[in-house]
Amino acid sequence: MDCNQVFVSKVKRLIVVFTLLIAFLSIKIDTFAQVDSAVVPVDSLVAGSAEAVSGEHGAAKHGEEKFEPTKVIMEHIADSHMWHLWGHTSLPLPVILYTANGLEVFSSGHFHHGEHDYNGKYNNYRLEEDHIKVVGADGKIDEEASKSILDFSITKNVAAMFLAILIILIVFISVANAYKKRVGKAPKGLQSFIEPIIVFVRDDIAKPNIGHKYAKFMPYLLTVFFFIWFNNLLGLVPVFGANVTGNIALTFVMALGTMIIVNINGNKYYWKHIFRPDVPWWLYPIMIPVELIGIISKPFALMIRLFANITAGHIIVLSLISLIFIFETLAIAPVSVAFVLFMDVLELLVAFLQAFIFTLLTALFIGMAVEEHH
Amino acid sequence: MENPKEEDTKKKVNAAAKYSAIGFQMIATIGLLTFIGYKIDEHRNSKTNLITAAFALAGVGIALYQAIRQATKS
Repeated sequence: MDCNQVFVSKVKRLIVVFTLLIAFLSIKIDTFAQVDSAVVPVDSLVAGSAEAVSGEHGAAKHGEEKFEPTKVIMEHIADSHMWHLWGHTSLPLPVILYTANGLEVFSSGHFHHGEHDYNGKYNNYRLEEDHIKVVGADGKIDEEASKSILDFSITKNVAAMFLAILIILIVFISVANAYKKRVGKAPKGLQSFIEPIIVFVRDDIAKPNIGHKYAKFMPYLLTVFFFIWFNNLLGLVPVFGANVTGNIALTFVMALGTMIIVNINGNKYYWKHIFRPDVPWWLYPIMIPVELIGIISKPFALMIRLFANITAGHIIVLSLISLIFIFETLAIAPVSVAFVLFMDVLELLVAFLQAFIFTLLTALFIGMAVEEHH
Repeated sequence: MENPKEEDTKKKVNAAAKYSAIGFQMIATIGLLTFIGYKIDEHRNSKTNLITAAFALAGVGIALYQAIRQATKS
């Protein structure tokens, strides 16, 4: 499979990013100059129930709301206590707080998009910039108390991740059942779609990089591959997409998994290489820290790469859409939509490529750790 | 059986993936050491951030060493 094209296209992507940056820099002054720019793009889509909620606010505020691309984009990239769908419609998600007095569970719908406080069992809570804060008796945010509560909420990213897990389970349980039922027969249906990918992971990723011990690591590699891939693809779905793999916490956990597996399976050659490298003994004080940093920096690279690539993709798409509202004209829309379409198709490729690279590098690191001779 | 040309492209892709990781790895190494130096400076309340600078420089050296070793190996 020829992926060289993809690496070349990264250059193109960089060009797009820099063009946009330059565009934003030159436009910024104009946007700030226009005080009463009205951007109410999706008011016609407002659902009845949501309008009832924000009725008195909606009508008064929206006339003079100014469009701030950075804020809008960052809101879309970041995690949230609500699953925003369109306009004023969003799905409330459960809030789970661990306070000193005990567990507190309620729906994030009680916040009414941060406009109302919620009187909980133990404290009053306020949603400020999508962080839950404790409100003191004087009606102001109590920072000390806010620090002491732990937020285990099912946020948008967590919900999207659960959904991805559900889809992966459905797909793979059905494929596994198909293998059970159709022993010795040709694959059929979903099975024939998934089988080549599994074989691809085994033959092109695991075998060449790990060697004959590959079978032991196949479950992890396949899980990582499909988890990243499905989450990347779900993140691209308009209206509904969450930026799951573009969340550094998630990529951190995945990289940590890789680090643990690599180090647990490291053989004596691997450890000798770190603690007794083939250098004069007086270099050990330098070499050992260098090797130890190497243990951390490899998974760190994995973490940053996945996070940066997916987040960058989302930012580009949102920036292109934002162009319409920055120029405040429909004339720019065809250009914008065409570019978004192009980027989305590219993102489809990147979604696969990032899953592929993460798995490939994991396999490579495992291969280095289980290598027999030197 | 796969033809040798396809095998060759596969190797190239693997190598490209491998080397593209080096950049991030260098960032990680330099960043980590700079962060350690920064924390030490913060702890000592030093006027000039000499240790940050020293650690960052050491990070660059280590990152270069790692990059060169990875490129020359195999």
